[in-house]
Amino acid sequence: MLEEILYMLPEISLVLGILHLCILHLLSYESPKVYAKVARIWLQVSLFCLIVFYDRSISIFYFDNNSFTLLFKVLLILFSYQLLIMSSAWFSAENQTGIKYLILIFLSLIASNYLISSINIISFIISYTILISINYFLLNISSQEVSRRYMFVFSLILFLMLGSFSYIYITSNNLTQYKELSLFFSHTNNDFKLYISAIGLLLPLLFSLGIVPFHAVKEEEIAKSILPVSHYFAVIMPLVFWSALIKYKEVLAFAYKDNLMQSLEIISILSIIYGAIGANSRINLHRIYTHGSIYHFGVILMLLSFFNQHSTFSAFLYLLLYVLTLNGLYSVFYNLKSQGEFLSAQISLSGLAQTRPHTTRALLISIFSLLGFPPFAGFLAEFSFINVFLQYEKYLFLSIILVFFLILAKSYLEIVKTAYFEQKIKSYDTENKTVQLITLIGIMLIISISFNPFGIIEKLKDMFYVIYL
Amino acid sequence: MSLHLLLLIILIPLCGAFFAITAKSNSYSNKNVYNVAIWTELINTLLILYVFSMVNPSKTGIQIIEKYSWLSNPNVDILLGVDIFSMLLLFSVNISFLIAEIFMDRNIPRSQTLIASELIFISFLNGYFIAADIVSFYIFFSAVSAPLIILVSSYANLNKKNILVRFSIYNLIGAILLLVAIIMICNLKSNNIPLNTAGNVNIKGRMEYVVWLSIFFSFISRLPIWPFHYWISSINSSIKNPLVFIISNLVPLMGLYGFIRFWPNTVPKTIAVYAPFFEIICVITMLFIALISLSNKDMRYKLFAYTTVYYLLFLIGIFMPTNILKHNIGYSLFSYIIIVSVLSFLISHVETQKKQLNIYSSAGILCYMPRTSKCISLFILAGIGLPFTPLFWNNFIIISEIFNYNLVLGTFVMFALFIVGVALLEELYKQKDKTYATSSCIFGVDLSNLHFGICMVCILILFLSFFKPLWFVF
Repeated sequence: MLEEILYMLPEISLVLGILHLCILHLLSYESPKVYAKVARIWLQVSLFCLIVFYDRSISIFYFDNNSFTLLFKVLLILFSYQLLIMSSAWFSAENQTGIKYLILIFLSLIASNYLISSINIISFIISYTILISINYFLLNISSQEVSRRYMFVFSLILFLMLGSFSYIYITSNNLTQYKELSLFFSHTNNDFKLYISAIGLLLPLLFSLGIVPFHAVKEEEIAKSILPVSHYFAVIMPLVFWSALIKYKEVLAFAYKDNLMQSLEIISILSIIYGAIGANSRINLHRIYTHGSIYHFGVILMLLSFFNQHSTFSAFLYLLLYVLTLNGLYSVFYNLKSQGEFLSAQISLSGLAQTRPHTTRALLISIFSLLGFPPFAGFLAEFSFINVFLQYEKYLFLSIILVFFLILAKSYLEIVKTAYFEQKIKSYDTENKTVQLITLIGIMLIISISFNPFGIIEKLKDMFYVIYL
Repeated sequence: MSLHLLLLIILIPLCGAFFAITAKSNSYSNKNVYNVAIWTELINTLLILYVFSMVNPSKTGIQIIEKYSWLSNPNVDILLGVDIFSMLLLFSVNISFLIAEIFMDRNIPRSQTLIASELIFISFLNGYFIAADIVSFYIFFSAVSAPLIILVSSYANLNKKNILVRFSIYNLIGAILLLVAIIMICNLKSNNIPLNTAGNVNIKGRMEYVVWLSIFFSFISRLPIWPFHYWISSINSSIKNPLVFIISNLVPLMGLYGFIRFWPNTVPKTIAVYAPFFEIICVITMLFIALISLSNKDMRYKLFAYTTVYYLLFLIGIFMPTNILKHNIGYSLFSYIIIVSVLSFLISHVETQKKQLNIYSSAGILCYMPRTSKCISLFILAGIGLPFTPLFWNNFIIISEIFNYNLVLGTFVMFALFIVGVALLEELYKQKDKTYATSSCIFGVDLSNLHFGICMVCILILFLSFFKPLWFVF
């Protein structure tokens, strides 16, 4: 019993963090900085416990922790740590404590930890459902209308997921573990209903990632949310859902790889086309980057559709570098404030280069990274994915990706054009020093990671490949 | 033992750029930023000279190899190395920037951005000339786009907003094509390979066309050749800042250098048969730009036309079925880069004085600027072939070889050079002819002693290079 409690310490420390925050709230603390500081301390404790018990699980029937899960969980906590610092600046500017937000982020991290560790359909469905519910409450902070739509769409998906689960559960004689089910699927891979049910379990993840044609709420959840929530949906959630999807694909759906390959290729091409064209038709920065995400996630899905270790790691690398770049870009958004209001329209960047040279540089570096210019992080991602496509002789797909990449690039370059060429229309508020410092760190990371410092790529690869053991 | 000297040549300007970016934006810091840029470039130029002394001119091929490991799977090591040709370009480019920094007007807006981007550009350009394997060659080829976009965004003509997007997209297309070709070669060889062995890779069938056409178009994307000429001519002719003008005029040099590294020995015959078509396009572009320069009244446009026509001359020289021209092109480029840089600043000086004195036309203006007049005259004459620079006899050899190869081609090339020379001389004549002068009260606007001294030093460098091209190597 004591042993199991120890293995749960990463999550317990987050629960303790929530309790600590509640006590502070009861004691009527008003400073968002105090809340954020406390939250960060508990996050550090959680990180420490996570590393110490990285390969220990509370129930080996439902969860399995290893280097692969550690990799995603550490990334999750590191990005969340930065999110907490930035969000505290945002809540300070808005004269809010942000306690509800912090508690929901902690709850989301707990659910995410369990979702990443899941090796059983039951634990997968439960942790996924909890996570979606938390996301609903987070969206509710910004817009009730969007959160209601979100919940409606996901209720339908959950219904579908439960239906799929029930069919698989009954057909397989109560099998729920990924590995057992994988074996079962491989023996019955001509059963169309089972194949559809397996897809039914995959769909929620595709919905959550906004892959076309399952992108119904993706744009709204990022564009209409307040900045910290939008940041959370753009940077944190993709890590969680992609890790679950990679695990699902590699362990559970491997038996159906021949059938799945074509379906995934088609939807990834749709995402690539929709994302690139959509980005060019938007004038809101969050919407542009959301469409950019749809394009990039299309590329990642395409890499995953090859069903081999090399391309899967390349997909992970692409995801990591993309999220890192997007994180840098979100840091810039926290600096864009005029008369107390955070800006998100592309036109609000007019003349930014004249008045905010440092912010403009950070914006440019992030965009250059997205464009794949060396020596920024995006270059490594571009190098890696083109290498995979050429190795597996997927010339047609590569051509489509590159053509639409140029279309997407146009939308990014329009942002640069606005920042440099348009006349200033807004006077920007003084930049927050902490936000500036975090932006600088984020930008340094974008620059330095492509040099592969300390052989970090190889270390990540070693951790990632544990999934195949 | 190379002591990482080649790496230092790349890193020193980056350190300077870091200082420039982190400096505060006030007048005192701005002054410091300029000084940092000058010292950075001075140190780098001296370092290049030192490395030059380590290179054996009689040896062919890459020398002073430095190796750095980057990725283990795929196994990619970064190789740096130089030969006489790349050292000549390195030296001339760094001298040009040193001259540019000393000449530069220190009251221009966003000077920190300008200096930082310039130093980053120099660093990447140095890396491009030093790269000795195909992956690092690509990295620097593509990386140059980033500072270039910043500079073009900051200093191009505000009326031509959409050019930035086109310019960047063209650059991006070129970079992507080269990346695809290079990864294909790496996959075939299962490794990153030295730059000089790229052509020895045995590629067959459609793949051969894809690889070589990708490489071809990626370099063409940096050269002002029809149909890719629009962005370069629009950008270059609209830039008023002389430093940015020099930088954007070095972009075609990258395309040219790419061809020099890949084309002469390495391209297989199946692709090389298309070279004559390309030569025809080059000649048409040369004639077209030369004729426009004759009708254009703007001196800066004429300088742009001159640079373009000469770049295309060197490009045609590269396409000649002989290897003996490579060193001649190198020596010519050495003088050419220095001449264009100094001319750019001299023209800018005249334009600034014109603007300050509210003079509409620059006709006759040089009569009141004797030092400027001397310098512009000398550099224009040097540029079009006055026999006291290496440009004269090296161009003579290149043109002779073109005549030897094809009389009609040689005639058209010669005609284009003649027209662009006439265009420059015509403008020089107008600026020197007192009968055109609109004002007689423009004394005291001549070059300062320092600037005049630098021009004379440049003339001296060109003059000495006329007798012994590598006189500065001890």
